[in-house]
Amino acid sequence: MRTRRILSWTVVALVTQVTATFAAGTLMAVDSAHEPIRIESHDVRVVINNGFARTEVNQTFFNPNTSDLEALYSFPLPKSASLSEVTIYAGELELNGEVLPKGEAEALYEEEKDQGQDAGLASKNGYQSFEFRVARVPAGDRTRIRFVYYQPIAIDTGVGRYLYPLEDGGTDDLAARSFWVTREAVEGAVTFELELKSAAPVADVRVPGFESETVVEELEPGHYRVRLERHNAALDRDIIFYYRLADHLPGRLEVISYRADASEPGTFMMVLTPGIDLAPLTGGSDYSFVLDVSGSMAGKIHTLSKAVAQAIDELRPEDRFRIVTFASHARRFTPGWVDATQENVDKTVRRLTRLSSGGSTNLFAGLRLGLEDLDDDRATSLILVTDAVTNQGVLEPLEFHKLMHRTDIRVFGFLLGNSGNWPLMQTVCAASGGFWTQVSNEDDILGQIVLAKSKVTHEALHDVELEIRGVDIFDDSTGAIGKVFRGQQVVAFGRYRKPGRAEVQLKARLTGKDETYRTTVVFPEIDTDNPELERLWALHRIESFEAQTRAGLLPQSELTDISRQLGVDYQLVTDETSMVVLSDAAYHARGIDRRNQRRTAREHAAQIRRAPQPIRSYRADEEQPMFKAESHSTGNSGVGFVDPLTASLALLLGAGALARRRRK
Amino acid sequence: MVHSACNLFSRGRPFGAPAFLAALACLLYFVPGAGRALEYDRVAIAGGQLWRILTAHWTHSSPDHLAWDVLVFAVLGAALSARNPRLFRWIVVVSPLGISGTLLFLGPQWHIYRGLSGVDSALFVALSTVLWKECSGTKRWFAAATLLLFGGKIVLEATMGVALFATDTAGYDVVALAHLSGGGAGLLCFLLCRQDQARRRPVLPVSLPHLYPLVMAFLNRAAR
Repeated sequence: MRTRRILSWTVVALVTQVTATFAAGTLMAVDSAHEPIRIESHDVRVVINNGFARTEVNQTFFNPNTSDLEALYSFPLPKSASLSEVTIYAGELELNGEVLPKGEAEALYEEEKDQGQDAGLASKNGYQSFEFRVARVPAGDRTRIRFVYYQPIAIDTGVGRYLYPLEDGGTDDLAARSFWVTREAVEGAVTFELELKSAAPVADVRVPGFESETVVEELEPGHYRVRLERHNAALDRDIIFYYRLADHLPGRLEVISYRADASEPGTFMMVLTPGIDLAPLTGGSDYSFVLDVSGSMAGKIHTLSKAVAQAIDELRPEDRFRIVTFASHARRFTPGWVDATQENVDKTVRRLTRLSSGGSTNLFAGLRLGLEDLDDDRATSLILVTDAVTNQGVLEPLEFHKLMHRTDIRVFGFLLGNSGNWPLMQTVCAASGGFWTQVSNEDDILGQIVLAKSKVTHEALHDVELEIRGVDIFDDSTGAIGKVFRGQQVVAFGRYRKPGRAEVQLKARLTGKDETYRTTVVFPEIDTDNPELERLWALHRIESFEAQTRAGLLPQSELTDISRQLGVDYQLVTDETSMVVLSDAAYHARGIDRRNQRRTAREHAAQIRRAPQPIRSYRADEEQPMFKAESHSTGNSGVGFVDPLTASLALLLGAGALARRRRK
Repeated sequence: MVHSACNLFSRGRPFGAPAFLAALACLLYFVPGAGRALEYDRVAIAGGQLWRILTAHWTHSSPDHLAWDVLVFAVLGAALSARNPRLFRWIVVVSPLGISGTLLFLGPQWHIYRGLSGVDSALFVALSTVLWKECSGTKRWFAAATLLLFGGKIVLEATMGVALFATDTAGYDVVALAHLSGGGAGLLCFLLCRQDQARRRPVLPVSLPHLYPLVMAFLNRAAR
């Protein structure tokens, strides 16, 4: 019980450190003589339909100045989000986006801007943000911008989490901060409306931090509408939506497919929710805490030290711990492994209160020190806490990948805020077979703790492999998966050439034994319900190539070509592509192929068809269940229920007691 | 308003308090969001939302759940309040703590809990014990028989881990442990209240309001 709290308190520490310095909003140069462009309204509509979410944002800008201005709007980048539509409403003119290679899109935008035309540009700023530019917000007038993105929604231990990121992680460098100021206040209303459609029964939904302002309606089982409205608010707080599935759901396999034409390949997303009993771990363990104490942690260091103190206080006497801190350099906070005796714990806790922050971030040095002197005979976990972008020492992801492969240790990473270097964190954790979690200030911290600690304290599935036989699949992410922790889903994307019945097989090692779980699924000839899958598949493919590049398995030049090709073919804003937003006449005059217009039309038609339909279940293994046990959940929901028979007895007793009293 | 509410618990109005509390449970069921904010949520309690320890028992999950729990509470509450209002007050105050505390210590698998039936169990055991002590002849044996039947049922349910007669519970599991701990709390309250009355001074060295923060802090620790 005490062991389980180690990670918990670490998560508390991490979460409480997230602070906002930047947020979503219009940006303008610090020395600008103009008044900043105002955000008049910010309206968000989200539909979560089984495996993925569609987010539509409408925002109105007002230019209070006497001359036309260019607006620049920055939005923290949601993880694995495929930005698919951008529309600008300028007066009666509607401008729509088309994705082109980055350089080409930027040149077009500049040309249109220089000619005084209405135009827009959406680009990806690394892993940190989407940036939207609107060439002309007329003086004393309004311009509305609308954008849509899709992202897959994973369910962890029976809990689904959707994050609408607004709050930045405070990791921007000083040069950027000194050049730009952000105006994140919205003078009208910020509205957030979310519709959840889940084929699996939902036990509870919540929007932590906004409970009193949120209206939740249950329209039918598994179908919820959540509405949140705030006035004169700033775009500086993330909105997180949690939904908890009912207990006792079976382990299951869900397959969502899309194939519009029998002559074209189909696309699929496969979601495996294992129903496999994973036993709690026993015996003493080693915990290596690697803590970021760089300058960006100032103001949070006290909370961090307090939380880590609580974490080590929960260790069992047979456990050992050590603490490494890093800023510009790494240093041992404890001399080495320390037995978790009460005396040692008390001594360390006293020292932790004197922890201070400063300097830049040398993550590599911290990790390297945290990995030294491991004992092969003891299970060791490294708990990495950082809120920053590494900016000193070794920066190459490949070097991190190599470092992690030198030792057998699981890294559990906690990344604070929305601007942390998640690709690097992913590289580190994936190479070690661990997992990482992004933590927002608005997260239900204790909920996150429950999810994280059950992974650390239970055995995991090892050497997991997913295989599909009987149907010709390609460009897929099946194959070797690695480790799967308690509560985690396995999500795979791919394409298939021809329809048919296929055998799906999951192989894994569990407590030293090889186990195989299998079922059969049908890949349909035609299914036009979810055209958005193609974009999700393409983005997933780009992300997997990016991961391979970071691990040194794919040259950067090849990744660049792939990203550009897939980005243009499937109309995705990537590191190599941008979305230019022009009028129909401008596209026509320049002879630009309207790929996004066609793709968006298909998606809109499907969304209109889906909206009134009952919630569709994509469970594919109902006839031949893949797993015998229930899926993992955070715990059970129960009621104290007086059954009718007991109630009758109670009523008889009550009546007898009252009758006697009246006679008396 | 506060004065009126307090009067409901006075000796002169034996049915006032049960009726008021039953109405409160009904009201909470129909207030949007109240159930979620007040239910027993192990994680939230660990996070400091200690009110849930007490309020969980007044929240319900379905109309059937509400109707049966509240009906039994109203009838047993009225019967006990008419005979021994002090014991009724003890049960209303102590049994929610006892039931939530038992779930925190012995039922870590229960993440969410709602319902008045644990308190109903406490009332059942207390009332039948009072009748058994105060009555004679057939009534006495009737009280003993109901106590035995009910006691046997809740012990059996807790041992087997299943509800014996509940069939339609809107997809929720019935927490037999809550019924057992409620029954135990009812018996404990009966014994404490009896001593309290016999000595004509409080059985505990400090009053319940003083003990509450300590008990809450203890349960908060247990939830973690």
